[in-house]
Order: sequence, then C-alpha cells, then structure tokens
Amino acid sequence: MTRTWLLLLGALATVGFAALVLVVIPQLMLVHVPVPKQLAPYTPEQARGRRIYIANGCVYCHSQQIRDPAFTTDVDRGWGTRATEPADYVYDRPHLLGTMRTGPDLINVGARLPDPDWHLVHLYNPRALVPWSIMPSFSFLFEERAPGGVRPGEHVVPVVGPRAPRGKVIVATPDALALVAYLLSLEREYPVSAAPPPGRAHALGGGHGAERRTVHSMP
Amino acid sequence: MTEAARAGPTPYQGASEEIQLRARADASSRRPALLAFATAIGWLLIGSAFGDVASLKMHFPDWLSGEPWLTFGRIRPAHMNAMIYGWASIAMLGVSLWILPRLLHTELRGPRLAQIGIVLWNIGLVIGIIAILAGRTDGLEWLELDRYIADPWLIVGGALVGLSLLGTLARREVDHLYVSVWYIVGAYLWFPVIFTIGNWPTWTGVESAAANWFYAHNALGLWLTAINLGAAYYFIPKVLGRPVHSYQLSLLGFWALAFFYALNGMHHLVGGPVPEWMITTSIVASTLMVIPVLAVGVNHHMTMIGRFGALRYSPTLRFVVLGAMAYTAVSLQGTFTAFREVNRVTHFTEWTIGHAHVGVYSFVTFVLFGSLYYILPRLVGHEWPSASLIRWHFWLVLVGIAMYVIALTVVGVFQGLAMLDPQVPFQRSVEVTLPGLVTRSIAGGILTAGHLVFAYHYWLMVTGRRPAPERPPMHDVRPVVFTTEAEESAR
Amino acid sequence: MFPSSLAVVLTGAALGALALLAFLWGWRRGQFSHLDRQARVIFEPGDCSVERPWETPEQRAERVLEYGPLTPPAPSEWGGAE
Repeated sequence: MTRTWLLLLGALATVGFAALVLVVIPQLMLVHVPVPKQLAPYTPEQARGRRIYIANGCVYCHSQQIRDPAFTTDVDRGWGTRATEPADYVYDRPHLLGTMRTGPDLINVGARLPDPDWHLVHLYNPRALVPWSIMPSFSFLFEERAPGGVRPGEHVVPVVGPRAPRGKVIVATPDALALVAYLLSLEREYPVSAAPPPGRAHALGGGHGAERRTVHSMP
Repeated sequence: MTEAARAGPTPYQGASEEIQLRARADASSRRPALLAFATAIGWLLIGSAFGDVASLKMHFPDWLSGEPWLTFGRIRPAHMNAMIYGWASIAMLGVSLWILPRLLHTELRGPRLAQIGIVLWNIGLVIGIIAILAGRTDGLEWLELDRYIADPWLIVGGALVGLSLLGTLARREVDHLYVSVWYIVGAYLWFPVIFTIGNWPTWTGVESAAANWFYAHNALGLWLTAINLGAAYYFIPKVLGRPVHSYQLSLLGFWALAFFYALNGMHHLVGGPVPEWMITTSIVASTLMVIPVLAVGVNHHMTMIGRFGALRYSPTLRFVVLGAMAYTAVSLQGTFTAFREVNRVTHFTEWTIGHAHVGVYSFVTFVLFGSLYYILPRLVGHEWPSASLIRWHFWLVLVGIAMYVIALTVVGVFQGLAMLDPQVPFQRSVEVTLPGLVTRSIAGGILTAGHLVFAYHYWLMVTGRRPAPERPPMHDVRPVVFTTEAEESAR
Repeated sequence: MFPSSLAVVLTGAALGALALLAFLWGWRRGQFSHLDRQARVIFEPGDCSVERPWETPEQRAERVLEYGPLTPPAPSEWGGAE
C-alpha cells in the first residue's frame, strides 16, 4: 500500500463500525428501558456508600450481576431469584457489574444479609465472622475508642472474640455506615416489569426461589 | 525463489546513501525515545512493587490493612495502571517514535513536541495513580484514571506524540508503507477514539458496562497489540535478514484484526445483563479472530522456520519471537474463553487474571523487552555491557511468567468448577485458589527480580559504568562497525 | 427490534459497500501489487548480506546467491550483547 488515506480511513472505519454496533445502537435501544417501580434511586447516604465502595475497589473481587439460571447456577447458589436485567441498573453510574468473584456476588446482598451490624463487624475484620475469608480488613473505616469515649449518636460495632481489640470499643465512621447503607440497598428481587426476553422465559419458571435461602454461602 | 533473487544482486548493493538516511532517522528520534524508555523502565519497577503487594495481600489479608491507600482495592488498580499506561504505553511511545522514521526513510518531525507529550503523559499518570491511592477513581476497570484531573494530560500528551508521528508520515520519503506502519499509525488513530468513548461521562447502567468493555478490550487489541505486532513485524525479518514469509497474509491479518478485534469487547459480559445480541456479536467476532491470529502466527512462524538457532544469538529475537508466539497462544485462548460453555466455568475466576497476563506480559512486555534490546544500543551508541545479565533477565522473567500463568489458569478452573456446583459451599471456591495465589506471589517476586536485573543493566549501559564489550561475546565473529561509521559520516 | 430495523440494515450495507469500493479502488490502482518489494522496504543496503552465524551451510549458500558475499556482523547487529 502506498496511500496514507486508505490506511487512515480504513482504520477509522473499522473502529467506527464497532463503536456503532456495540455502543451507539445499544445506547439508542436502552434509553427506552422502563424504570422498575420498586427500584428507588440511591439516597444521599447510599450514594455516598457507593462512592466508598468504588474508592476502595470492592469491584475487583465482587460482581453485581445474576446470570440466566439456564446458563449458570448463580440463582441456585442463593445469590438472587432471577437473572438481573438492564432495568435493574438504571441508577448505576458507573456500572459495578464486575469481572471477578473472589468473593460472592453482591447484587442482592441487602436481601441475603439484612443485618447492618453483621456488615459492620465483617468490614472491620471479615475473619471475625468468616474464618476462611481472604477479604481485607477495612479497619480504617472505624475508630478505636476507650469504653467511656463514645459520643452520643455514635454507632458502636459489636466485635467480639479474638479479633476484638482489648479494652477498646470500635465505633463506625460515617463512611462505614454509608457503605453499609449502600450494601443493604442492593436488592434486585422484585419481578421485572418487562416480559423476559425469549429464551429466558422457560428458565425463569424453574422455581428455584423456595430452596435458595437454605444454600447460603456465607453465615 | 523470490523475484528479487531471480533478478540477481539486489539493487541496494553498493549504495550508502540509505544507510546515512537511516542514521539520520535514528538520530532524529533519539531524545524522545530515550526519555520514553527511561520513564517506562521506572514505571515497570513501580508497577512491579504494586503488583507484589497486591498479590501478597490476597493471602495475607490483614497485612498493611490499616491505611486506606494501602488497601487491596487501591493497590491493584495502581499496579494495573502503572503497567498499562506507564510501562507498556510509554515504552510503546518510544518504540513507535524510533521505528516510524526508520520505516518512512525520513527524520522525525517535531521531536520536541513528542518529548513534551511524553512528559505530559507521565505527569497525568502520576496524578492519576496518586488519585487512585487517595480513593479518587472513575471506578471502571482499565479506566480508573480520573477523567477530569488525569486523563486530559494523557490525551494531550498522546496527541502531541501522535502529531509528531503523523507529521513524519506526511513527509515520508518512501513509496510503500510497510505493514508495521499500518499497525502503528492505526493504533494512534484508534486509541483517542476508544479512550474518548470509554471515558464519556454520561454512560449509565449497563450502557456504562458496554462502553467500559468496548474500551478495555480495544485498549488491548487496538493499542497494545497493534503497536507490538508492528514491532514484531519489523524486528523478526530485520534481525533474520529475510523478508516476512507472506506479505499477502500480513495484509489480511491487519484488516481482519482491525475489523474483528474491535467487536470483541462484550465477551467480558457473557451471561450478563446486556442485550443478548451484543454478547453474541462479540462471541462471533472473537471466533473470527482466529483468522488474523493465524495469519500473523503462521506468517511469523514461516519466517522463522529453520532458523530458531537465532534465538541463541539475539536477545531481541529471543524476546520478540516468544512474544509473538504468546500472541497466538493468548488470542486462541481468548477465542476459547469466549465460548459460552467455557465461559460459564472461567468467568469471574483467576483464569481471567492468568489470561490477561499472557496478553500483557508474555506477549506485550516480551516484545517490548526485545525491542529495547535492539533499539537502546543504537540510541546510546554502544553495546549492552553484559551477556550474562541479559540471560538472567530472560530466564527470570520466563520462569516467573510461566509459573504465574500456569498457577492462576489451573486454580481458575478449579475455582470456576467449584462455583458452578451449588452443592459446593462458596468457601471451597476460595480455598482452591490459595495454592495458586501463593505461587503467584512467588512468581511475582521472580518477575520483579528479573525487572531489577534489567533496570540495573540499563543503568550500567546508559551511564557507561561498565565498558561495552569490544565484540559480541556469544558468537566468535569479527565485529565491524558499519552502523557507527554511517553515523560518523552523517554528522 | 431496533438492531434489525431497515435503517440499521441499510446503514450497515452502505458502509460495507463503501469499504468494498475503497478496496476495489485500491486493487485497481495497484495498492496491493509489488508485495515482494513492499516486504523488503525494511532492509537497508548490506542488511541481508551480513553473516548470520545461526544459519546452516545451505542457508548461507542461499544468502550468498541472493545477496552476494557475506560480511561480518556489527557488535549489536542482532540487538544486545550476545
């Protein structure tokens, strides 16, 4: 080849075509996704928690998506009642779908583990509750206080056992409380308003929902 | 026999003007290329340190957990960004600045511009990585660098280097554009397009995921792969002294890569909540990637065939040829991984991390090491001082990356199978990865040792601490200095 | 569905036809001829007649036939100290 323009235009055309197919056309399609009635926008505290989640890179170990039960066993594992759909993510910017499951999926963690104190203790030191966990301790989201030093309105975290600091109490910072508020907001179990796309309909009728809470992967 | 062979002695015989031209081309890109390589090697060491810390944290989860900036979720993206945008990308800026003037038979236009561009790119990256450690990130894999305070530096810096290269292309004094030119020029057109789409601030929900993986896959395919394939297409025939086996195949390989690679991104979301047809499109395109991959692989192999002994003589070939083989391997593995039946096991596991390192390390980093072994002696004007340091570097990184990839790939399969069986508690899928994670930390240490050897050797060479050898130690032939002679006459 | 709508199909077909036209134009104008010469633009004079110590006697003989008498290599001819 001797023509520069052939190279330049050709190269731009290929990437332009791909952007059209994978970015522009989906964008045009997805603007019509109806917002599910049961899905509320994040409250300011939940949104703050989401920023903490992003800042500390939780996405590198936790996904937030349930795949089709006909394809994988995400639902059987108790991570959700149905495959998640585009409508479940309309308030997510940026997305946090994730590509790793070093830890379990979190898109329904608010339904699976609704106790805020469980989350606070777990964030302070995951091994206080789950001995085999390899999740890092997020102790920097907490403060150690002398037992008399807790101010009114502050949330004392009930850490017990060998992981609890001796002679001190653990107080959650507003960041920790916001992160837990965000985690508890993660619940995508309402029925999706749109009809399931063809190919998923039969799979969704599988009736996995009844037994799923008995197969918790985490305490 | 080729046409030229039948025509008898090559028309180049006896002409020395072209060698002078080459010397001028090399001299014109000397400063920006040296600047790029020096900073790239710095980033390689920084990225290695981040990588080692992140790896150790996966099996010592309480280690260094008291400070927010040291938490795993910040160190890991710091490692990844230091390696992709620091080591690989900046070294690639240097390689393109050095190769293009050579291939276009002219001097680099705007070398100052390119130098400023490299400095700006570095500044943006320092800002971006400090921001990541401070908890300010865009939150998208491969796009963590903050789009407001870090990315603009990279965009302007990259544009300045790109302008310098396009200006050189516009003033070329050669009729034919060699295949390496297509890949490298293509990369400088593609990168700003995909980087802009990826960083566009209005994407929401699953559209944000689509744009994220459109970018991330193309950053590998249309940026890292394109420039390093361009380098391989130059160094393999150049060192061997025989043209690439089939130029037709290289044409096919380029255009097929440009078309199919760009459509691959959604295979990172197989089973995910994006419209099914997008994922299917990407799986089909991933399968069609076999065409350009085999075109390149067969082409390089047929060029090498019967001459693999050359790897003992040339560190450049040793790294570049292994890198090119890894390109074939990683691409076929990628196609395989995109199939739904495979993906339901390997998705969300350490397999993916292993796969990414075959691509960015065994392929990209190896080709870059090989390129530096060729280019640097020509920039500083003397030889690498020590053959044994080169050997240490080579064997450390080869053993390190082999351990790394095998360990993570194997435990990734076990992890995936454990997760796929709802009767197996999740705990099991964590425990099966531990041997692989520990092996990975050891492998990471070996890789870092290799990088330190390379950086030390580089330092010895540029500072002239150790006298350059009189002659190449590995083959007992009398050295001549026609490159240096030509440089003398050019001055 | 939108992706299978006539507008998208026509746009796709038009883009494809444009690419095909550019390719045919390039072919007619000889952009894809002389490939052998294109593959050799990376070599400067003397590049191919430098002795390659790893080559077999047959490969060397071929090289002599094609490029003339062999010349000894420069120190960093193959990139690096080996």
